[in-house]
Amino acid sequence: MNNRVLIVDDDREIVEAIEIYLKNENLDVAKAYDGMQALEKLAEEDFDLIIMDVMMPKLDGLRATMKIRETKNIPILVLSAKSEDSDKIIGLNLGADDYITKPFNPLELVARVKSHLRRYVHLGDSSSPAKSNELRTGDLVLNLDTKEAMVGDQSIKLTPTEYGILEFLMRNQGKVFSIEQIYETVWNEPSYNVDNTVAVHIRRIREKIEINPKDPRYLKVVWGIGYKIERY
Amino acid sequence: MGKQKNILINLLRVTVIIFSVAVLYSAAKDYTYIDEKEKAGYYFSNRFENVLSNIMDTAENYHDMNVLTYNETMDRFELTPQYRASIQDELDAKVKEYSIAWEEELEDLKQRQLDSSLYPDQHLDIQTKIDDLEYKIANASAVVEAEKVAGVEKDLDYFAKTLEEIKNATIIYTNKSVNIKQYESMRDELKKKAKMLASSGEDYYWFEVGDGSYEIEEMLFTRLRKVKGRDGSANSDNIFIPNTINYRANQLMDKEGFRLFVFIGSSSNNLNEFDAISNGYRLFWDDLDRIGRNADRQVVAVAVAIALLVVQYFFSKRKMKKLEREGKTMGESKMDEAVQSFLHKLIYFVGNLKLEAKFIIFLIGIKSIDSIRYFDSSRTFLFDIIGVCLGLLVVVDFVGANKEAYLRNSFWHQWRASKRKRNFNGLAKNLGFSFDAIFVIGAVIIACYVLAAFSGDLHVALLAALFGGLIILFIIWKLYFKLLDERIGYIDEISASLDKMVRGESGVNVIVKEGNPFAPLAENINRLKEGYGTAMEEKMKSERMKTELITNVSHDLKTPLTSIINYIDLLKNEEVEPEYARDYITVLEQKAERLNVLIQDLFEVSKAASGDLALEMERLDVAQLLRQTLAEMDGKIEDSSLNFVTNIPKDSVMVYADGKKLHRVFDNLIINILKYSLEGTRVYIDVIQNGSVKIVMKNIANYEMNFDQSEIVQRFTRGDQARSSEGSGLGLAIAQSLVDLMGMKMTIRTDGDLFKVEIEIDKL
Repeated sequence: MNNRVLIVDDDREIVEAIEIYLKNENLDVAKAYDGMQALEKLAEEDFDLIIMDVMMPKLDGLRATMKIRETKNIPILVLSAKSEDSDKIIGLNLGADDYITKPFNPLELVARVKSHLRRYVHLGDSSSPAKSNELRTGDLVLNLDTKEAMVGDQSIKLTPTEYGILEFLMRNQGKVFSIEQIYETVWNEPSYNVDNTVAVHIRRIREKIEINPKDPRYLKVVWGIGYKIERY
Repeated sequence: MGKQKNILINLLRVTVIIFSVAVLYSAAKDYTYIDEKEKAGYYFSNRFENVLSNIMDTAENYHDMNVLTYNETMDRFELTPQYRASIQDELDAKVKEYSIAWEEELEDLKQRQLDSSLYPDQHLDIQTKIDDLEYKIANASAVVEAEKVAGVEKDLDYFAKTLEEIKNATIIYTNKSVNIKQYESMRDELKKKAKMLASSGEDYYWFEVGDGSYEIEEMLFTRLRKVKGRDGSANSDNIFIPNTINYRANQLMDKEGFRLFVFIGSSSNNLNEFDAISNGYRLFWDDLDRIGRNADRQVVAVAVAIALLVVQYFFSKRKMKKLEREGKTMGESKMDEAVQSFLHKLIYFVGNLKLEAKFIIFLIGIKSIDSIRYFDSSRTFLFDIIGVCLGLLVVVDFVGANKEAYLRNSFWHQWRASKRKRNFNGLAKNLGFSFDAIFVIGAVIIACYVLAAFSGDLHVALLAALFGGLIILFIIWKLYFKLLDERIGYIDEISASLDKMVRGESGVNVIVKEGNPFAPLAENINRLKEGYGTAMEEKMKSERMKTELITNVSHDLKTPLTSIINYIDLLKNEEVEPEYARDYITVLEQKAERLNVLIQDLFEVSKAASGDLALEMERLDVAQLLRQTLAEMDGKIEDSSLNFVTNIPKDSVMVYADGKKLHRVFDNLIINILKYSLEGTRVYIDVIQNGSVKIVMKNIANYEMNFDQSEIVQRFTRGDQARSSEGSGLGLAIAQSLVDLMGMKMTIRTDGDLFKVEIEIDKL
């Protein structure tokens, strides 16, 4: 059975465009054009994921998200023209699982939708406990035995150095490490004239594991301080 | 005005010169006076001592003669040989005379003895007389001498009695206070008596002594001068200078039968109160001293004034010469100014005083003239001179002043004016120092004069006046501070209200106290607050509207853009005929993407410029940040033909900044470099630490930078103006806004084709 996705946006063309992309991925799609309609649809049937615009007539996306969160635990992707950090933080705090700014890259949207569905449908709605030989955050899984990295069901090819950096950061999720610290741990030698080596490696890792490297989900830059892996 | 001033100055100069001459004349007069007085002073000061000791000595000597032999007495008085001889002759003659008489008597007695041999008791009596006579004849000279001594003793008794009588007479007369007339009559009376006593026309000596009172001394002195040069022989009314009295006394002793008379004219003292008299003479000397000192001071004061003028004259000359040497000519007025600056200052000082103060000074001047007029040295103080000078200055000032303005410059006028305005500000300002000081000084001076006049003791007057002045000062200060307290109290209230306003408490107004001079201030603050409140509201409204507008516009732009991008993407996946239509789609895709970037940047620059961005400032390592930024752009840098030369310190360089925004700044700058650098050139990125942290980026432009340096960061201004390539042209503007927002400094310099950006951050 195909997963069902509810698309909510007051701009019909956008809804239809998203519909086309999702149908190409074999997903069932339902459409709503404002918050009220979305709530009505949800009352009628179950969905596996909701794509929600923020600025809509009658009931805006954030309020609708709050309403939905009162009863349901399904993934909600907020789609908004508001691109500031504060807007993103508000959206995520109100119960959204992801925040995508308009205009969005269709491929990124699809990838994120699939990622959330996978986690919600296949792995259970809450993050399942990691296996003993695995390091996991969100869809990113590191197999310590096989030294393999996976994003969703995609296998990622990493060089030994890249794997070393990723493993070190994955073992300390949420913690920020400076270039020197990373270098000293992974290369196991004093950081002397490190230059951009670590930073460049990290950029490459990100290009491999992130859907949109410019707006990374896992491997994040903390400017002027270091890098960290986000814990999900 | 200049001419008038010159007249004034010249007038003042003449005044100063005339006055100096007058003062010098007075001093000279004092000196002569002192000279004469001094001569008299020696005479007076030793007089009593000498006279009294002479009297006493003489008396003693005569008394001693009681026990001394006549010859011894003669030895003692060192009689001349002739005199001794004459006395001896006289004695011998007497002895002869007596011897003959005695021998005749002896013959006679012897005869009587023979006649009376029948009467044994008579015989015995006669025998005794014979024995006596025989003794006398045998010791004739000794007997005569003894008789002579007895005679002298008789004389001495007589003299002592006379002296006593004179003394008594003197005491009787001198208990009254004398004037010249009384003195003269007393003197004549005594002289008559003396003449009578002096054995009717025999030689006598007359000593006359005054008591130190001015008139008597003067008279004695005149007489002394008259007598001077004449021989102080017998029978004349002589006054002897006491210095020679010993000599005279000795001379007297050469003569026999002299008489000594001393007339002591005393007005308030008598001979027995010798101490009191000598005390009086000490005072006399003090007086003499003071006159001397005053005269000295006068001369010094004039000398100093003249020296000042001379010094000033030479200074101005030197100044003029210096100017001439420097090739500048000094205008006549300038020259005058230099010469007169000292006097100008004086006039300026006087001119600035209030009318009342001037009036007081003028009165002091008149009073000083009054006391100087007599040239009474004992009362001529330097103070009087200064008083007259100031008084004259006031007159000069008045002559030269604008009369209307002159009269208006008074406390009275100001008081009236301030009362009319119900505003004490003007008065309070002027009250400050001048009011207190001038009134107190004036009060002290007036009190000095009054008290000195009553008590006659300047020291007491000065102390009392000072004390009174302090009390007046205290009262004035009390009143003044009370006045001030009222105002400051109100200022405190206003200040407290202002504090509340600043803290943003609503509905706070400053209380307006009608009648208080600060009431307009309070009113104005209230008005200002209202105005400010309205302005703030307006501003907030417009800010809100602006932010809303930006948000809405960007939303409204982004929504259709989303559709455009999405449908272009969908179109790309379709089979489109004819083939070249695919190229059209590519163009659409590129332009849509450009539009996207433009909208993003526009949104960002508006937000940043309006300061509506929340900052997350934290401690961070700017070296690491720069390295991270470069690493993120590694791909683009490698793709370019540029050679990046970085000089970033290995150690961390800690600053306080918003990491994301600083990254955006660096990102924008490097993108700018990548876009506008000449191919194959080097790009320098340096981090310099000295005091502050400087991040310097240098590159060679690929176009001619013919724009104004300040223009480059202006929104939509791009180096090449043509705006052909991708990007919004907002990169530098955004960087500038963000840097400003974080409180850092960004400077852009161009030098030929060299483009240099410098960001300065405070070091932690």
